[in-house]
Amino acid sequence: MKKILCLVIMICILGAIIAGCSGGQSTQVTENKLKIAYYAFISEPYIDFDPSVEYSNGIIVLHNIYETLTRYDVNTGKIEPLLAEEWTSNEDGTVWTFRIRKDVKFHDGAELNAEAVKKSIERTMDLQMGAAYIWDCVDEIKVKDDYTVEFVLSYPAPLDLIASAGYAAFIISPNAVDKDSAWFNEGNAAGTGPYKVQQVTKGEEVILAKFDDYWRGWKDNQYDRVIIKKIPESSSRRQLVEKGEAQITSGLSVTDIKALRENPSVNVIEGTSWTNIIGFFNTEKKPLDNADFRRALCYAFPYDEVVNDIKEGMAYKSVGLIPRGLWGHDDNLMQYETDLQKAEEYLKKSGVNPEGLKLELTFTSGTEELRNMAQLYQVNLKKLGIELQIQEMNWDNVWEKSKNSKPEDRQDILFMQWWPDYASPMSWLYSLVHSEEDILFNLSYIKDENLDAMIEEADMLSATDRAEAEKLVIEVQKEVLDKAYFIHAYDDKSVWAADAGFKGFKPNPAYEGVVFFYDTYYE
Amino acid sequence: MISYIIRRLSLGIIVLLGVITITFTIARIIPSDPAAKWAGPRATQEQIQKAREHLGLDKPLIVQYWRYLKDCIKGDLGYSLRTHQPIKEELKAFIPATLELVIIAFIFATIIGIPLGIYSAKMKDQLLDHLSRLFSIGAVSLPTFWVGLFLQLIFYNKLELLPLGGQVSNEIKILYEIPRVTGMLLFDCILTSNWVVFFDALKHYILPCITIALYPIGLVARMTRSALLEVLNEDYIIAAKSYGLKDRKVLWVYALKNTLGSTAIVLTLSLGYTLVDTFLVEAIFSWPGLGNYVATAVTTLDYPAIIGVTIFSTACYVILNLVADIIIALDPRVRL
Amino acid sequence: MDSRIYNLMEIIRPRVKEVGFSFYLLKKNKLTLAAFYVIVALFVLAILAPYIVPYPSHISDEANVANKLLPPSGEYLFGTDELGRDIFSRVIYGIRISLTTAILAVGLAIIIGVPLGAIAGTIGGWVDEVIMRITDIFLSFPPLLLAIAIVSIVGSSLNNAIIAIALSWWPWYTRLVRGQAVSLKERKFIQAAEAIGTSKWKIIFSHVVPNTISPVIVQASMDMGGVILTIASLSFLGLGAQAPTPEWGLMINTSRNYFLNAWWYSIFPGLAIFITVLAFNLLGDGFREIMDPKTRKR
Repeated sequence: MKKILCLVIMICILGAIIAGCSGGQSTQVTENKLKIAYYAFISEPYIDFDPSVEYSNGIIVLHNIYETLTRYDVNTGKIEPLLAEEWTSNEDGTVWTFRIRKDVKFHDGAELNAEAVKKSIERTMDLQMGAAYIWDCVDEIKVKDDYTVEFVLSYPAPLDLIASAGYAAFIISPNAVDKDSAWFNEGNAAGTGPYKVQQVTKGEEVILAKFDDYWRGWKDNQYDRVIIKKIPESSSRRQLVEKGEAQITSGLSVTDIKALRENPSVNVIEGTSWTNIIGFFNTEKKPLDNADFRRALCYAFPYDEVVNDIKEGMAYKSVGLIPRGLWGHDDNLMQYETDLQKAEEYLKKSGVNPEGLKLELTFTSGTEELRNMAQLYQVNLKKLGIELQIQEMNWDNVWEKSKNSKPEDRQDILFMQWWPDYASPMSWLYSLVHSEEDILFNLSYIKDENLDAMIEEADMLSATDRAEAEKLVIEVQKEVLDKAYFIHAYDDKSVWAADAGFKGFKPNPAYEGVVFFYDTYYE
Repeated sequence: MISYIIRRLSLGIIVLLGVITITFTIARIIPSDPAAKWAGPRATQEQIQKAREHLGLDKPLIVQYWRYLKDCIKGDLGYSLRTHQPIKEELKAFIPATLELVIIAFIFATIIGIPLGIYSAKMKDQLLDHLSRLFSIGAVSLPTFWVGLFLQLIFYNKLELLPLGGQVSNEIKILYEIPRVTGMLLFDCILTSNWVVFFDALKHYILPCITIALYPIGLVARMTRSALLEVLNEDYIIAAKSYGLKDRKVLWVYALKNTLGSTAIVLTLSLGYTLVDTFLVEAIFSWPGLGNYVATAVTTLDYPAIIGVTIFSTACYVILNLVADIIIALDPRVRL
Repeated sequence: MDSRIYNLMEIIRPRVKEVGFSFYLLKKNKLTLAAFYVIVALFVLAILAPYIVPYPSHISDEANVANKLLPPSGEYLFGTDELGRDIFSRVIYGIRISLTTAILAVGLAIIIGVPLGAIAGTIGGWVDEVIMRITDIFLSFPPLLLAIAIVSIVGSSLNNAIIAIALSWWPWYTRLVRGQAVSLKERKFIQAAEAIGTSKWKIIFSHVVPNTISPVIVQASMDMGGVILTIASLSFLGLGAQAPTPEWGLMINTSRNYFLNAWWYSIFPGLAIFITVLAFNLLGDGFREIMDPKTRKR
């Protein structure tokens, strides 16, 4: 009897604690006057806090702390001024002059001027980490006067575009520019952006606070604080947005998105993304060196099922190599369709005997859509009598295998995402199609002098004659499609879930994952 | 006695050296090039070469081993390939949260597991014993990661009673200063008598702690039961009973005292399991601990980080076992 | 010749006696007996799985995305997964995967551990010392952690997971067999074999190892639960089975993405793990009690 009494008392105490906790919390919420924007992010908010080095998630934080000379505008498809007010280039695109905005202050009180711009970019170039290579074309940076800076290039390049890059183009305060990466990684930062660092917890979260002296000024309904926090589970992120705890999140699973569309207190925001999913054939290995066999494999891929059922419409069917929304994309290019009959015909034509044929498919583990896509492809290939072995691995292992010196020890098919460092199709052509001395990302192992020449010419022209360059880019894609070097699986959409009161956000494919919190406000 | 302790200590050192050797071997069979990973994607050959020199990978294997050994003994676990930060520093940041979870789980294990074991032993082969046996074996048979998911589904999603994950609510985090003394949040709150944060954090601790505690609770209950049964067969207990001492007194005072030692040892031994359980569960509760750190390291193949955590946890485990062994040696009453 | 017959008797006799007695005690403990029947049922299901599941093609040959994530119904007893496959069929087939991988892992651990233990116990001296220190080193890794480290670095696949588990599990068998071997050394038939000059290796492999088989098998049955749980945990971390293998841990890992919309997707594989591991652990616990003379007394 006594024991039961004890138990009852224990339960009561426990209940009181729980109740007490919830009570305590609700009183706190009413005291809260600061407006907070909470971004539930799929992974760590940053890897390296040094803006010259970071080549990963960190841009989602850094773009709110630092600014670049120019910014790509997703609405117009043009480069818009940011820290640079205007710019000109000479006729062949080898000398670029930027006029720097006046009266811009860094968080540490320093003034923005031409010298600060020169030093920031030189710092990035000297460190040679991350995406620093985007400045490879720059020969010399000259300070013309306090607010004019001139870039002398060794070959023509669209520098206004490069200056808008998502990575490695940040302008850093002159007081911080001589510090090493360790200083930044202690949680220090000094940019011109709308938010400054309040608190960072490595690998977990970043809290940003409004920078009162921001040069564009502040309105009443903008956010005072920004929290960017790692929440790896899709379902957790969804619940946070549903319950109004988080203002915005992305990277939700398709089922979670589907459920959120029904919820009036949540906005599902879709935007273009320049990410596409590409399958690479090992063209240096039998039987994949046979173009007809590759065409058969292309016709067996479940394009529509992937877009409609796996991605639930949150993707486009790829047309060519270059995704929608970038110059060089052409909707009239030839498309492979799922057609097992045609696949059968090409298989016959190729003379490859599918009996006992095993193909190994590799991709980076942890991506639900890729896993499902691979399983559907496996089912289709089975109908052709080909066995597909799915091998999910770490990206490093996937990549290492693809770089094996013996082509027969490499995978047969590899699926990978690709996205550009700045708004240009040249990234696909140079990295994925242009021949390489050491294997890097040309993972179909294409070696075609003709294609190389076309790509190089298109790159030169891209700074001066866009129309001509675009024609060449389309020509390259025609050839790539004809030879069936790739499976063009789908172009991704950028899908976000935001609280209905969170306004002003528009996904910008040039800055994947970035929320420019200055543009957002509450209602 | 002293010679035993010396022998045990020297064995501990041999074991630690062996652990370091094994981890070194594992780290060298890695199929990908760590230098290329350090330098990042799209790195040039020179960048990779520079990274190779920086990481000491250009030296002969034996030199690398010697250097690795020296570093490990100094407590230097190298640099993370992903973040380029010293692993020692990263571990320091992540250990307290996990440690706190483990400590609380162990407290649960003691206050629930021991009474459960006692009743089970007292009512051997009766219904309560069977139920308790079923519970304690069930607790060690449950996939913890699955339990975590379901507690969330019930207490967050359906009942809306407890938070989903993390250590403190966001509002609290912004409005109040979060105390950081030891890094163990609840403890720090008590130290600084920060009760608002304490109660908010407490709510966040309930689900992960229950999930993690299941395993040690089951284990402790089992151990207490069988140790007690063994003791109850001893002559002095039978003698005590025949002197007419009350059953309850015999059970709680004489018998229990003699089982506590073995229970304590089971607890230290179960530390290994509990620690690894936190690795499976922390990602589910977005807990800023070692497990989350390992999970990220595993998905990004940050092998020095994986190895660093392995060495650290193993060293803890070895040292605790050593302590347990020495306690056994010192206290003649305690025999497993 | 004579000694061989003698050996045979020695080998068979104690085993028969032991097993017979154990089964008698097993019958006395109802919970253990129930667990034993569950395990027998699991093995039967595992063997018959391809013939009895309602949708055998849903294991790997077919996907029907139109039917994805349907709740449990008469047609799909446990509902369907993200590719419209029958979860019931996959969970039942998963018994096969879990049992075979666990048996392989334990078997591999036995193959490594038993000879080493027999050598250590029979030869003794510095060989014993070295082998036992190596087992100490391997046993000092927290369980699962060594496997996580190995698989994450070598690359994830079910085979690597099996090897990694065996690598972290073999020392238990070495210890067990060493203890047996040490006590066997005192037995007449071993001493007789030594006296007539039989080589050490022959003694180890034709006398010592066969005599340790029954405790090793009992130990192995006790370990099955832990090994199944370890495999599921590795797969849950993405370090084990590869899609579309219907492995339970992998299924739970996948189901996390659909967790709030499709509770059935994670609950059934989780229950399957629980029931299987519980049955093996109950059996193991029963065995332990039966064989522990101290608790047997009362």
